[in-house]
Amino acid sequence: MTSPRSRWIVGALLGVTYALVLVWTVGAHARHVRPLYDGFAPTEQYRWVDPPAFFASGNKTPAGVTSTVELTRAGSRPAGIATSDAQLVLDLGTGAVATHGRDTKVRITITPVSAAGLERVPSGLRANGNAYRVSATYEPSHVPVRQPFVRSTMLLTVPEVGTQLFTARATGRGWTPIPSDALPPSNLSVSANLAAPGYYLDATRLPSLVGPGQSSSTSLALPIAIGIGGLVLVLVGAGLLLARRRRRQPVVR
Amino acid sequence: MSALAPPAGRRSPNQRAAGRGAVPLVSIAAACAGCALLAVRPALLSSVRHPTAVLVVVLAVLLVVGLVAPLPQAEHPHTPAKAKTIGTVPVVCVGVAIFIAARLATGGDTLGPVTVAALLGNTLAAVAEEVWFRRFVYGLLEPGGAVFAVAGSAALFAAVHVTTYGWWVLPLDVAAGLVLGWQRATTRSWHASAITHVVANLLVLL
Repeated sequence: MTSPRSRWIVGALLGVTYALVLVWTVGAHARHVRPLYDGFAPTEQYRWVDPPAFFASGNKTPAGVTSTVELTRAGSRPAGIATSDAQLVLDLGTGAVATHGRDTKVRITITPVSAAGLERVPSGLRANGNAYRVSATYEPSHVPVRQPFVRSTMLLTVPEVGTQLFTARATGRGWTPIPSDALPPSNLSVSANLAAPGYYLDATRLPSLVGPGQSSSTSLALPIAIGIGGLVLVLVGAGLLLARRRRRQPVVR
Repeated sequence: MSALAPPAGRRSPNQRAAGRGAVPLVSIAAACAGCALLAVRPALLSSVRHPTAVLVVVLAVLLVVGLVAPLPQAEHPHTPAKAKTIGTVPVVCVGVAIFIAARLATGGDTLGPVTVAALLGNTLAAVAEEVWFRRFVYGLLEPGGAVFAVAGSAALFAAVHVTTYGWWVLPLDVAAGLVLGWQRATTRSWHASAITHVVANLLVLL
């Protein structure tokens, strides 16, 4: 198929084949068939450690991760560390962790934790999703890394538009605001320079979430359940009355 | 026990006459509890850690109870004797055709990807609900007549779905329940409506 004509023929055949497949697919699978299924998947839901009640259904446990980074004379090698659900991504630049004695590696652990178990964020704000604990230890000495990371950034996914990113030392107390930027277009990812090992938590000024459990017919579940139980009784009773009336009627032959 | 009493498990003609049309209290209680459980399903599932597993358990319990719960002895005084001559296959075909036509006419989005879990879950839900409403609830209401049982089971079927989907589905579910109830009444079995319901649920995945 080297001539231009044969190339056109092959192209036309492929086009016709595509059209036939599309028509068949539309006929077999109703109207809503996309012309090209190209890597678009439903949005991944935010994974909560301690989900609000109306997010509990279908919630998946957020992932943590432990990774080891090699130490050189200039400090740690560059590394990217991300949880498998990508809710927290750390980018460690060259020398992000300083050298320490004869230690050859640094072990970095990311652990999602419930914000409810930590000190509350300052007044007027509320926690926006999970808190994440970032811990680092030198290996093989197991000495905790205490100095701040340098030349390192973090990308934190949040469930709602955030207002302020905070960090706290290993105790999880004394939140300190750190400059951060929400990334468009969704503004549901917050980027900041990575500070020291400790806790990270985003906060928002948005009103507390009110889920469908509080605002829709779900809130009427209990009264409806009682009502339906009563309806069953009424219907069965009515059925028995009908049956009794029927038995009293003389059978006409 | 009197020597004249029938052996255990067998009932005298008088007992059969007295029991005819009587509804077992345990079945009434089970029907109330089961329908209430279906109604509070959204609130229940949103408060547990493993909602899918809980839903499977709820449906399995309803399936078993719906199959084994005692029902009043049917009298069928107003059911035509030829009703049983209508086979399951054509009734299923009619029901399935109705739901296929509805699906094609309405279009809309699919529930999600077709997975084994989705297929099994939708099938379990359909069979469990049909056993519950078209075997158990229908059987409880049947002493009032077939029309009453069809209408009553359809009303309850629609009502328990209000908390999940909202009030706007009530007329549609009543209508669907009437179709399924018609299948139950004409075939004198819940099998046709179960097959139809399974197909209807699976159509939404396509």
